[in-house]
Amino acid sequence: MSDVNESKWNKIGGWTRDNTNLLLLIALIIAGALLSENFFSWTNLMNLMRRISVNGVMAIGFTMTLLVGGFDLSIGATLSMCAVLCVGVEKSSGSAALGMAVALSAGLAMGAFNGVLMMVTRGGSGEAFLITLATGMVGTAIALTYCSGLDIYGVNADWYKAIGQGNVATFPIAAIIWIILMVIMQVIIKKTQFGRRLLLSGANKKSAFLVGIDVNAMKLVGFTIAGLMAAVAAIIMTSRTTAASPYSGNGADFDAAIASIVGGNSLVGGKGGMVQVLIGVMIYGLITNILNLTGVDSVVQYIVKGAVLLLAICLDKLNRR
Amino acid sequence: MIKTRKFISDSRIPLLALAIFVSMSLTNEYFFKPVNMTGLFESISAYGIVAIGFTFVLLCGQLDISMGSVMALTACVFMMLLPIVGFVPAMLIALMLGCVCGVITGFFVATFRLPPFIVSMTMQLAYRGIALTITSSTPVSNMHPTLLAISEVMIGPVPITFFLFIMVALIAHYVLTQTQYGRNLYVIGGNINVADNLGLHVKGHLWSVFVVQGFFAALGGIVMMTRMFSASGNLALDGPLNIIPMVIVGGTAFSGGKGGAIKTLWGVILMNIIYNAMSMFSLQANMQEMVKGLILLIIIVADKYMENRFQKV
Repeated sequence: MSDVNESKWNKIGGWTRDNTNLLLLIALIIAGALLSENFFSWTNLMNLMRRISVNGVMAIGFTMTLLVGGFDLSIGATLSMCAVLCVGVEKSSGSAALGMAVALSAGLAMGAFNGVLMMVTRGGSGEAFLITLATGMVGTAIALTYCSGLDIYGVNADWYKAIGQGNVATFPIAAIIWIILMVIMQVIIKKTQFGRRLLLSGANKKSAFLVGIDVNAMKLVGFTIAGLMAAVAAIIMTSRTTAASPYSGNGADFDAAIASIVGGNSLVGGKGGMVQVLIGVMIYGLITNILNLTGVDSVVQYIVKGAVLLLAICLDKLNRR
Repeated sequence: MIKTRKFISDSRIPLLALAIFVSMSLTNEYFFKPVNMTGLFESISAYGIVAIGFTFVLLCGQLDISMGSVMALTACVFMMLLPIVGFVPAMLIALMLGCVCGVITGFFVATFRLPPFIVSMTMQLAYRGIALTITSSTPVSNMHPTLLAISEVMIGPVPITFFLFIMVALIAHYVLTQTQYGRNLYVIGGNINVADNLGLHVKGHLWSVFVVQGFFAALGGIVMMTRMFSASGNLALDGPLNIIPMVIVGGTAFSGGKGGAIKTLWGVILMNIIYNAMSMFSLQANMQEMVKGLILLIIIVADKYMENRFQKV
């Protein structure tokens, strides 16, 4: 689209439009630095990284469903379900590894279930919204039935606690896991043939089908990864809090959706990636941090975050016009 | 013979409702008791009225899952205003507030043409957030004499609010089938581009259905107060879970342009009999939620499968 005679200012304007999210992040960092003198201290930054890593892992999964042209509201319920299963199995069997395995396979199963239903209905984002709304309700009910509505305590293994609480040279392990997962996903979707197919099937499923891409399989992969990521997030969360509540995933799907969309992943699919996830999750973490610092009530925070999300999808729509 | 088959296929939901009703009455000794019947009719009216509003939204091909939150918000405002301004002004203000909620949700959908599901998801959290904020997260209770009087008016075992629901359904049926506005909604839901080319005011119609749902959600919230006497920010948390199956089972499709108010009426009655039957067999609350979720899931997948089954992807 670039014109030879395009003036310098037009270029800057275009760059600004394309990178609104990055500019918002920089503005928030400056605001944070002005609000608190300790903002740029290593401890504060590392604490921030540790806190946003659960949401970050969730946002990876959510973004994968966005990229294949879907939408996943059930990952919050998957998070609750995997969390109670993980801690519950650990408590009854005494083996943290077994608990992790059960949680991961439960997340995988939940994601694959969503994916299969998406294949059956040949759906887009509207169908995905309704289907995952219902599977989310079922997932929450499973979590509540499994633990009879009570919190479960019982994580004892030191290596397990280290996932959420430990550091490698003052850098939190949870954040390292998040970053490694993002790098792997970014390489897969941007550098491999499989990833190109995945993005194309999300951008235009009809033409992707015509050039011979198995669009339904791509949907299955996207939703399965989302379920798996929710299970990883559940492991990180339970290892940090050493307990699991059937309500721990309430609103987590919404948080992941905000982070992912505010970062610049398009709602129509096929456009975006893990760089956007990184920016979005940081923006979301900083907004939460600043709202907490200024003492805003947690209920009012949701209204603010909802407004941010609405603004982001309006911007997304205007950019596509 | 053909006539009989057509009659059965057209009225399968009422017949199914009747069949479950009769078999429950025969198998469970507590089902056909006046107490349970009153409870059944009471539980129908509030969510039923909201389901009628949701039918308008679905007919137009839109989706709005914020009904539970609008019910909570309007019911909280209604209960807070009740001792100060009296019954009728409080009711009018609550109904107006419901319309305002619909105007806000509809604005984003109609003007920016944003996907309705994501807008209603956001607004749902915002309305509930406002409801929790204004009540400081504590329930507002009030045994107002007018509310008590309404709750005690019965015709046989049937509370008066049930007749309000029937009336609302009949009015909605009249509007949808006999007025130009109603026919326009079917056209827009059937194919929005055709409606645009026909010269219909699509934006206005899209906006209006959200206002209609907001109004009915507020009315449903007030009706719910006539038997609960207490509102909180967490009221009707399971609204979408209960209301969406009622409308879809009745025969209104997600794709839009198909369905009607009378169909929703029967869907509401059928689902409420099923929910009541689940309680009769003393299923655990969590298990009931799971069954409801599975019912919703099956309904959604079946509806969408029937809609898209001839597509390859």
